[in-house]
Amino acid sequence: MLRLMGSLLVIGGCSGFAGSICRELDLRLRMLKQIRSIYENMKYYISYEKAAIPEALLKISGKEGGAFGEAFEAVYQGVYEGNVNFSTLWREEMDKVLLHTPLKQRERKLLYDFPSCLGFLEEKAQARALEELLREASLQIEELEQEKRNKNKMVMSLGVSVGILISILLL
Amino acid sequence: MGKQQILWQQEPAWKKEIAGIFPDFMRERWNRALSGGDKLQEIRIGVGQPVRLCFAGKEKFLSDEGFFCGSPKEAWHMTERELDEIIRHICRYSPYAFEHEIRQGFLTLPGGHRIGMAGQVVLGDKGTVRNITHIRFLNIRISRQVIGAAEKVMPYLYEGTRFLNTLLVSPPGCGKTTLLRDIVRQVSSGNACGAGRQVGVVDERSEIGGSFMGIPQNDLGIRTDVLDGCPKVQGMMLLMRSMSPAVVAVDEIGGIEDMKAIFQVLQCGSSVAATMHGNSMEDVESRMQAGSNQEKGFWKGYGPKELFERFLFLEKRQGKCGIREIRGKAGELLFSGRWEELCCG
Repeated sequence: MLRLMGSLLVIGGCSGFAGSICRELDLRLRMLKQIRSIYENMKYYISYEKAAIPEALLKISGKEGGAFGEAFEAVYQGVYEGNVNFSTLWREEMDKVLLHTPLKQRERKLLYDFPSCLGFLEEKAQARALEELLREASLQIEELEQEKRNKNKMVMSLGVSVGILISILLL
Repeated sequence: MGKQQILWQQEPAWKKEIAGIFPDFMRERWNRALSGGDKLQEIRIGVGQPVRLCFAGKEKFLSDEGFFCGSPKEAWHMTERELDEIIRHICRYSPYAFEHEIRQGFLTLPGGHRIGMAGQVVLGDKGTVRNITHIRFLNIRISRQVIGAAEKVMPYLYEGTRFLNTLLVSPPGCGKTTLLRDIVRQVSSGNACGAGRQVGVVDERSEIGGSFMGIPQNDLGIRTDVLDGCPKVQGMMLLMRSMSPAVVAVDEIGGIEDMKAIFQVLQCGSSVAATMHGNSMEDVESRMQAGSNQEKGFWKGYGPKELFERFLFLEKRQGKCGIREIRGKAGELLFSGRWEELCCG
């Protein structure tokens, strides 16, 4: 009975580990989609409302909420009230947002690169510069979705199989 | 100074606003410079040129460390990169959002301070200014609102409780806009001569209200609507249609089109307060009639006395602005000579 219980626990543990890998992929995908939606909103505020970047961030902060919302509000306040340099402040706030996230370096770059695409005199040019980031975000989402499709089943079945294998070996 | 209260003397506020124009890495220098700049009027910056601070009648250079220095050789010569950083910071890293203002050559900042810009102009298809790229020269003008500047003038501007159509005339830099701003404030909030009225301000160059993102940074009274950055003629008509003001205020009128718009405002039963460049009644008449003489019919020979009932002539003496004379509709002298009594700072 004890052996059976141990075996089940080992299988459960291995499956859980596999599940956590899949969840991490899910979380990365969700975050990438959130980043893309942020940039889409930003593009709208730039193109149609001609809002300055900090203002656009404040508006988005109301929609997004959570860690991004807090970070955008802090950037708005820092730029408007504290007269702090945007690039520095953006980096600091994004570091805070990304601290406990599973995003890879290439995915984080999507956020870190934002200040470098600013500075255009016309809103159309500015929106186009933002489109580059949007394109990159969409590309990464596509890749990750593909990876998820391929990996999820494999990781889960591998997890369960390894669990069964270890159980057999221990028995 | 009497009841006048010069708001720009509230040190921390305006100094903080001006220091805030500059990016972090040069703010310390500017804080140092501004700490000794109580009567600062302008800051002039140009790529490769010494940084200059203009006080009432004096000019000082700023060193690399933020101290005043006597010669331009020792002064801080702004680099292209430094100036670009200032512009990015002023525009909140969103120059596209200020495209219209940059095209006009100036930006208004919180506190009503104005930044004039010059650089390489990009022309549009029809030869109009499309934008200014490579901004290489800045002129930062410190906003100064003189609350109470119009106090002693107000009795001359009313007939009973009716506000008379008023034209303020002077050469540039003699306090026309400062006086108009306080007239607007007093008419709007009410004063000893009349109850508060609805006032509409067409602020084409953002000088009256000093608006930042549509919000006037100067006190224009409790019943004032401001149309910021709007051309005068369209603005006056728009206000009449939408906000029904009892008094309309505009800055720097000149051409026949402005006169026609003012005429329409008067036809709607509202009063007008306006400013104009000039020095004398002859100046005003020749300027206005120069346009109207080329017109036909009703407008031919139409002059300022048909529109305005009070003419205030301002001038500057010993660095102070004041009113030289006030004339009535027929050109009769209502006030003259007692210069010091109506000084508006």
